[in-house]
Amino acid sequence: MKIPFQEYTFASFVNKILEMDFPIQARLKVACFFTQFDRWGTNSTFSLWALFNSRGFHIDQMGDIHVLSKLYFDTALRQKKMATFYAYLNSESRLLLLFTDEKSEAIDQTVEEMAETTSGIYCMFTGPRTLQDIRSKIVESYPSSVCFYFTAKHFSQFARKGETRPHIERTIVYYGDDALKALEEMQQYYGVSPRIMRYRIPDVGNYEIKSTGCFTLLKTEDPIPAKQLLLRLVDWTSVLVLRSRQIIERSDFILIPLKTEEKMFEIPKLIPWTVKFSKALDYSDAESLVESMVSEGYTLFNYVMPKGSFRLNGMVLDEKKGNVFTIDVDSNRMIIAPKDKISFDAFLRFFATIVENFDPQATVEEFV
Amino acid sequence: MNLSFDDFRKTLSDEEKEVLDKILSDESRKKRIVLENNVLDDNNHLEIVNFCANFFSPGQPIAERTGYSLALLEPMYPLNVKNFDLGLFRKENSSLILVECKSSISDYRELVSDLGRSISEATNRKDELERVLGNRIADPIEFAICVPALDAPEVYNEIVRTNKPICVWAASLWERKMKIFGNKEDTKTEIESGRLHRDGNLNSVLGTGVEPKLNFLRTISILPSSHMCTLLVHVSVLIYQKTKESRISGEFQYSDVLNILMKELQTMTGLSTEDFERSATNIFNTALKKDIFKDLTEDTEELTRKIFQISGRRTNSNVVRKEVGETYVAHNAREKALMESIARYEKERGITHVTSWMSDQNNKK
Repeated sequence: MKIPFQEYTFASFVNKILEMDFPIQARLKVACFFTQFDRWGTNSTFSLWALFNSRGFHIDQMGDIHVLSKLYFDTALRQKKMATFYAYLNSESRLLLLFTDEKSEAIDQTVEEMAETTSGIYCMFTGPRTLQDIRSKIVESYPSSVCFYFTAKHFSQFARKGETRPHIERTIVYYGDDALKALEEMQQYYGVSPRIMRYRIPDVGNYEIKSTGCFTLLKTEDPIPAKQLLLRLVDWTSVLVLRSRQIIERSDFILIPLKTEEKMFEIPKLIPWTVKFSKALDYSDAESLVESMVSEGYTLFNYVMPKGSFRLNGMVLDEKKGNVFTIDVDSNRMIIAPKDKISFDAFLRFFATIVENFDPQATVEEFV
Repeated sequence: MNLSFDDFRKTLSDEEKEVLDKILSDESRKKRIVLENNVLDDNNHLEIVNFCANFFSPGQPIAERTGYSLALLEPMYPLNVKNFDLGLFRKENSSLILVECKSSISDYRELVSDLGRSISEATNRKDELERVLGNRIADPIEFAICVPALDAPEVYNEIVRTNKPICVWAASLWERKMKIFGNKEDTKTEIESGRLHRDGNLNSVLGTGVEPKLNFLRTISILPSSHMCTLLVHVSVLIYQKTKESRISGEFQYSDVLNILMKELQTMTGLSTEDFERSATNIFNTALKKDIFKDLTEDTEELTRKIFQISGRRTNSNVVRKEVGETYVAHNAREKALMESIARYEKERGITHVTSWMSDQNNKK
């Protein structure tokens, strides 16, 4: 996908995308990332520009659009290829939209890899609950739409077990126009949780929605309305996911000064956020929870997990994003508080870890 | 003259060596269990300390309603006394409550008797405590012990029996509630005896039972007197992360450990830089002795200029956490088991030393 080099506003860029004819094999994608930044900030050392630059991206500017390029390894061609993304940063929501027709592995090896391990950016994580909400929205707006594909996973650590051999880890890839019904059945029998959904919307196009916040227009015969719907899907989803982000962002770690006659102490004030579990947990779930965390690069240390009903609390190191925080878990919820200033994306990754590896129906809740 | 284990072992026949080795392995296993329990107890202690402290941390309802705020961790530690975990201070009337937290109690009498000595120490050294706090402290200092709810009646009875001025805070850790335990009929006597607080507001809040909002979140990550294993795990995990980011193959210096301790503890303790340096040195001495840290610059004398590395596998931070904990316990267990194994071997083999009557005499003294 090659967009002519010129100055764009976001509106003029979208118009350009809408009117452009893409090669038949090209699939327009929008990969969404939440960031900490409301501008690119070329002059600052801690800025979105510096973040991409430090990770080896070449950056060109076309007005409101930044062109990001980086080499990745194409596994089919068995050679390195240059991936190009047209990036727009919404200064209000701090949502970064990457327009591209690159393969998924190009995104995974470049921006996704960076978002997993860098502070200040994380994918617009779209868990099973949000996928379900989007599904309802699609069906409501397009009653003749059909879900014809999904991929779903089950891990042995899941708090909600499927009925069949719950200790087996499994991935199910399903093709068929009864995919929604099949997903329901497979959730019940095999305990799987969806990661990718594909929809056919008659007379508009076929779409793929990934839990990593990547939206693809797979096929269309009427490109302009199809591309418009792609953007609408992004819009619907971002509104839903933004709520979790806002709650997480309210968590904080502040040192409150306590002044005595001759000295000054600083007492930590923890402002937490919570993850509400979808079922009451018991002691046997505690070890699964710890395992899920460890498998994603978290280390629980100096913690307490007494036998009995569910009680688990201690310190956590996030090895990938390099943060330390503290958790307290009971059978219904987990309270999480930073132990230093932590960028929201670190907690978004933590929430994604809990949802993808432990309780797919868990939700982010305000701490009360 | 005492022989070292290895020297002693050399004096034995192959058959006897086998017997001694079996004894050593058995003693090491026993010591290991004791040490693991000690580390577990330390984490349980940290849990109840945080449970208690979180009621009085900034913005929490009790702190707002009563004016008592968490001010000091182990307030007596700078005076080389390891009693009392928390100092709660009410600035408006300079009133201080010293709180001791216990996650489990084996002997009520001993506990209350120990507390009695700590109270005398705190009262006698009030002027030094005032220097730690940097503020005048109103008379008298109040004392509280926070114990699991199940133990509260026995502790209270012992306090009444021995007439000690201590309030009992009963913590229901499973139900996540805390309540002051005492005689509600005769509040006047209870206040005069120091078993209820002088602050009516605090009594009424604690009297009805309070539920924490922050539960067991670790507002306090470590204490100055935390178990060495807890300190080593905490420090090693953080150092691993720091050195991993800076890509210098896991190398660190004395200042890294010192900075971690100061960051965690400086703002809430009256400890001086020298105190922190002593703690850091202590951590290094232990870690080097037990092969937890590796000295990469043996030719350099000065501790502050040396370069270290965490020993063992460093695949990820979880491996570091496990290895540090296990190495500490294994090393300590073997060390403690060595001499006891000789004694047990001699006893089991009926060996009596010519000079054994001397140690018997000493033991009787």
